[in-house]
Amino acid sequence: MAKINVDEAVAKVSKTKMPERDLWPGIELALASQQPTGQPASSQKWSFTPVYAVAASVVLVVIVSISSFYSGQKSQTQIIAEQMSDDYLQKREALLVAYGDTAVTVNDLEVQLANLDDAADAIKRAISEDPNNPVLLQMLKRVYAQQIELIEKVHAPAWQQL
Amino acid sequence: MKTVIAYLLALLALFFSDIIQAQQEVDQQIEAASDSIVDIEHLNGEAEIIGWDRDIVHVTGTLGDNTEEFIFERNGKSIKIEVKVESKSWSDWNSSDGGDDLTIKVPTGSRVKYASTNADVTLDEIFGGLDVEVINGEIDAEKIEGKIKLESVNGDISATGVDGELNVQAVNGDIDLNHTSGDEIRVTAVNGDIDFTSAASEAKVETVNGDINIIVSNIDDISLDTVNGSIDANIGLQEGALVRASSVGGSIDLNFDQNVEARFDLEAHAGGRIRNELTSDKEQKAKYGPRRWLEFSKGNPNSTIKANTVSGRITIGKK
Repeated sequence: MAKINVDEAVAKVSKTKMPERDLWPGIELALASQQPTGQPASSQKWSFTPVYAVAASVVLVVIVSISSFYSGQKSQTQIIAEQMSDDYLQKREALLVAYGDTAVTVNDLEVQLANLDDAADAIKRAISEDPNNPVLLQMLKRVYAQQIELIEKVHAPAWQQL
Repeated sequence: MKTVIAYLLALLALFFSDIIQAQQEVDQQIEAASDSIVDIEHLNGEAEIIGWDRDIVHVTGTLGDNTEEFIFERNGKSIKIEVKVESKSWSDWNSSDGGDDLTIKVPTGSRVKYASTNADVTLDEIFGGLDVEVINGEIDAEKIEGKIKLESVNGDISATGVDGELNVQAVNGDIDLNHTSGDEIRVTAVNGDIDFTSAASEAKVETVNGDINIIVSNIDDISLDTVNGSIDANIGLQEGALVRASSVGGSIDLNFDQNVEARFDLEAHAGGRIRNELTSDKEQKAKYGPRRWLEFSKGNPNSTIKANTVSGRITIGKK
């Protein structure tokens, strides 16, 4: 296969390629026909054509889509917080079912759990304000752990054996 | 007629046997190893457990009305003391039976395990370790050593002159401790307050609604956590110490020596405030959102102090 020398090929190309005929009269005629009489070109009103309308609509749709995508997107911390909440609720439900009718050693377990639920809600609200803060996630984890520990402690089977 | 009389006599005998049983007194002893493991269980009443310098376990006192069996036996180093009652129904907690009133003397080197549902217990001069659990009742201990666990669901816990690894837990009860020496202290309460002084190097303290009020003099690693209670801690630091404190809605007051050398990293996430009484550094506030923070170093910062609150107040001050 013959090897092409690119440099030589480029050198052979004419530096100024002239059009086969003079195009300027046609361009001048076209410009003159677009310019309304008695009105300077600089003050010409923008013509709102269907093509511009479609382009504007497309741009608007794209902007709105991107904006709504980002505003609805959750941070990794929020996603983990939701998973943590789901896991906790499942574990809490399973524990309460497992303990069934086992006697509870405190009178106000529901109140105490509600207090911790309120605390978890407060932390989750803080996470929504400060969505990338791992410290809040640790606090939420601790509150859920306290609830599980409380349920286990006041139902502990060891107490029932006495 | 004879049948009726026999029946009445039987009833009478049963009646008097109940009285005898209700008035049953105990005075028994067993020889024991100086480092015995003494396991005590009873349903309700009160117990006083005292260490003495004899290798004997001695039980005196009276048993409750519903006592079915009193077990006092030795197996190797293990001594078992158990009061079995006729009914173990949960509702027996508040029965009119006053329960047992026991005084138990054990060799001072014994490890004592005690469990009861409805009893106050006092412990004195036990140096082999303790594991005490009650549901409704107070725990009061003095001069105790070893690995120590004190746990009550509904009752206060008090311990003074504690030397050893200490783990104390209460749900609805206050905790008051004087931990004279020992590497580690761990205290948890749900609704009760926690007050203690400790020379431990490691501490973990936690409440839900109770307040934490502590003085620790030799900290290498401490974590203080509350949900809605307050934290007020006077903290003496070892070099290279780590202090962590957090609250959801409660206030945090951490007080250090004026010449403390540490890096401070304080953060309030949603409406909380930060006050610095140690240096002139001021809190900063996020341009958007409620977050506030304060980061500064004092001296040659070899220790780290971190505190976080959601909506509470953090104050850093001098002891």
